[in-house]
Amino acid sequence: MKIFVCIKHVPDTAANIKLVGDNGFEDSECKFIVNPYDEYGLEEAVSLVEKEGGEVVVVTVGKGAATATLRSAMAMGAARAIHVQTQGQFLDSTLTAKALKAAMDQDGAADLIFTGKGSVDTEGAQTQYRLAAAMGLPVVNEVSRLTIDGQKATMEKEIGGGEREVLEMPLPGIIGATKGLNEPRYPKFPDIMKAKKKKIQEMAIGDLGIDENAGASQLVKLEAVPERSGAKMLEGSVQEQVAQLIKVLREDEKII
Amino acid sequence: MAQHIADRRDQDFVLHEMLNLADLSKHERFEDFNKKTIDMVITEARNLAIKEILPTQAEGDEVGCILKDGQVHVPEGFHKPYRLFCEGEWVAMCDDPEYGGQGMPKALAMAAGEMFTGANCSFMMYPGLTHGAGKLVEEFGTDAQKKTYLANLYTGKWGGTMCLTEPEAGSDVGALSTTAVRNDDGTFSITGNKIFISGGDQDLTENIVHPVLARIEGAPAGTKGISLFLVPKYKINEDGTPGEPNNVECTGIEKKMGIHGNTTASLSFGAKGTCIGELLGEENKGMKAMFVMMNEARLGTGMQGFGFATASYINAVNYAKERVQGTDLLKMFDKNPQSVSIIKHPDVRRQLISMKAYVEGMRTLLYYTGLLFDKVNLAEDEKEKARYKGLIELLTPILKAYCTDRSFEVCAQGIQVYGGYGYIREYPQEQLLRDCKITSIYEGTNGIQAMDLLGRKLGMNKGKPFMDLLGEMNKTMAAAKEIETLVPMAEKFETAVNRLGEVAMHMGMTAMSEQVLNAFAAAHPFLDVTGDVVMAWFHLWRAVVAAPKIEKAKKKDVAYYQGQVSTADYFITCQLPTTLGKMNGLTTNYTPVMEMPEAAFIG
Ligand SMILES: Cc1cc2nc3c(=O)[nH]c(=O)nc-3n(C[C@H](O)[C@H](O)[C@H](O)COP(=O)(O)OP(=O)(O)OC[C@H]3O[C@@H](n4cnc5c(N)ncnc54)[C@H](O)[C@@H]3O)c2cc1C
Repeated sequence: MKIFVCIKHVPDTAANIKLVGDNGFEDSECKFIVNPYDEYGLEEAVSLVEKEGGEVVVVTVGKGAATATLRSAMAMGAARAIHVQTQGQFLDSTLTAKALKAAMDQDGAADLIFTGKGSVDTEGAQTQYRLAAAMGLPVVNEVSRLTIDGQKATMEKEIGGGEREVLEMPLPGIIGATKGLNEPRYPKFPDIMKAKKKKIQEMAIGDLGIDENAGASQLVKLEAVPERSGAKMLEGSVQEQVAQLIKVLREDEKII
Repeated sequence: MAQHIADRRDQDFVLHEMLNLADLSKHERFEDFNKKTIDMVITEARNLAIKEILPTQAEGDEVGCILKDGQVHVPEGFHKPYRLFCEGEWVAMCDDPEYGGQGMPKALAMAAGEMFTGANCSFMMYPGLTHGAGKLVEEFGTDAQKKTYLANLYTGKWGGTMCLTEPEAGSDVGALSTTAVRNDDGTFSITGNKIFISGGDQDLTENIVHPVLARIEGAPAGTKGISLFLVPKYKINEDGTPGEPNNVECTGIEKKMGIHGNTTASLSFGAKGTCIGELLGEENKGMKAMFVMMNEARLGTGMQGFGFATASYINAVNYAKERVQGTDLLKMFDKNPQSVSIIKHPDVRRQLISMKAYVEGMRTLLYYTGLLFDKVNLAEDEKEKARYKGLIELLTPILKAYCTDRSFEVCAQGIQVYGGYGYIREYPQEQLLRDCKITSIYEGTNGIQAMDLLGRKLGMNKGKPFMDLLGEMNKTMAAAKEIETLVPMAEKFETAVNRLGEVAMHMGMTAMSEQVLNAFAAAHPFLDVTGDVVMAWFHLWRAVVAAPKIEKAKKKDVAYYQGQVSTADYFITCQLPTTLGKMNGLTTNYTPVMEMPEAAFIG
């Protein structure tokens, strides 16, 4: 079984992000990690291969510094990596999907492709769909349970209110992993050592015939989230609280 | 970014910019450890430490260990990180790959160990002692013993302890009374009671291997008649699996000031039936063998103390940046002065820089000593090897005692910075202080360490290791003198080094004169001043590395490098004069200490 796992090099959510210029941030000062949702996909892929044999290949599109993230992914069990290198910090998801497809096509078809359900930095949650469209493959996102049976994947996804949807998909296909699917492993010391020797195939995005500045959307501006003003707790009986709430909405916030 | 446990930037500075650790990869033995690998090892150790081990620290303290029906239960939350730690194969980081070790440089293991120990020391004592027991088997075991025990210990599948202490045998291990009687099949029957045994019983592993010091029937009194035995909790079946109980009973566990998550057990051997032990190493050579484990444990204990200090420091800095209280001294008389975070207050700054100076100095001492071990392994001739070994032996008591004493003080300051909140259970600071205290007591009290420094290490090989140490300091001094801005610091340091040489000479002479008792009364303060000068040395070294880089540094590094120079300046200019004063005290021979009649202590 050959499995691609698309992973994104993202700033640690605990990182203090300093904005630079209109639409960039200081990336030399901040810690990067494997996008946490992609880790679920990676863990799933590695355990599948451990059981059934085969190979896990991680693919990323990102700046040069993403190498470190690829090494972490390989320490978790991926056999090798493909790195499509960009100059910019943000790449439009149409281009990301194109680049991923081109890199995978070059490498040869896989039985299964994992992505995360979205990335914690830009939270676009589009790449997996665009990739599926480009590759002509089925896609299911937000998968929290998976069984593979021959050429068929059976998946569950939460649809709110404690309900779950059960879906079947023929393989090859694309699965967007999310929390609950498994518990990503910590790399073992010997695997960290081995990861260093595993191969990373590098290519510039331009070499795949893609102009990284020609995305369908453009990032105009990055802004820090404005600090929220303190929450106000309403007190008293339900009736009193409702009366107060209406008063606040009408008089203070002028919403109704 | 809020950091936990240890300042990663500073860890990297010591490893890469001071010690150039990646240079080791030029040697075949460490060829896998280039800079990238080193960084990755630390990143993964940090991950495991922060995500899985640190969250168990408070639980370890609050829940503690429970003895029920003769079985100790460790805090529930310890089980998962123990499994992850073992699965990740972190137990035997530096050991020979032939025996299941990872062959990592010791200096790097120190950095990883800092993360683990700083995350939860009580927890780390379980795998730590397990490793120590394994080391004994590796060094002294027969092939059969290695086969039975080694892999089980180095993978953490079985636990290990060290059993020296008895009610009448604390600092004086030679006074022990546990006995061993030879059986026909070559094994021994062990009878006796040990107390204060860390990890003496637990439910993390399926078996526990106790290295026990005991006296074979008829052996000489004192340390000369002590042998070492391997005593498993469960006898081992033919197929190597744990079998019948071996009559090692846990008769009680201590209630104590700190490290609640680690059992301190009383063990009774052979009280209710035969307890079988295997001789490890030679008869009557047990003390010598145990020293292998104790030397490792002394470094480990220094690391434990330090782990508390670094965590307390990081917490204090994070807190001081966030806690808003009081106004800027210069704006005190403004109409509506704004409140500021307490890190703006000079007195809080003073405490933080002092904590920083000790923490960073101690970190250097630990990693540097680790590197000396690696250099022993790489040494090309016996002379070079002996030189590094001498330095290790000299630095061991300093590392153990100085780091644990200073760390306790750092933890106290760490509480002070928090104000009242530091004293409250809800915050981590008071636990760090309580946990830290034991480190100056076990593994040979700091008093015993000071006696080791003065009585053995100082005069060892006609004082060569000590001279070698001063020689290393002089190299840094010379380098500092080449950098204009550092000349004043280098000169102050030079005064202190020269004075330390004189004081050491004086102490050595006094110890060999009829004033020997006076000398030993001053042994601990002598260890302290030696440690201070070692700290000053490392700070000057840091400044030598950092100062020339400030100008061309990346933005994020400028403050860091400036901080290195300021910290060195603080330590050498503001702290070192106190050390010089203490040295003046030392040359007076501390005469009142022994002159005063014992009856005078309470009138
Ligand atoms: C939590 C905890 C865990 C422990 N874990 C272990 C363990 O795993 N294995 C183990 O074997 N032991 C363990 N110990 C025991 C520990 O190592 C001893 O407590 C320690 O060595 C001191 O011995 P003691 O308590 O008998 O004190 P004593 O030896 O009675 O010492 C009391 C004081 O006298 C001083 N003193 C004693 N003799 C001299 C001397 N000759 N010259 C100068 N000063 C002296 C000491 O420095 C100390 O200040 C542990 C203890 C504790 C509290």
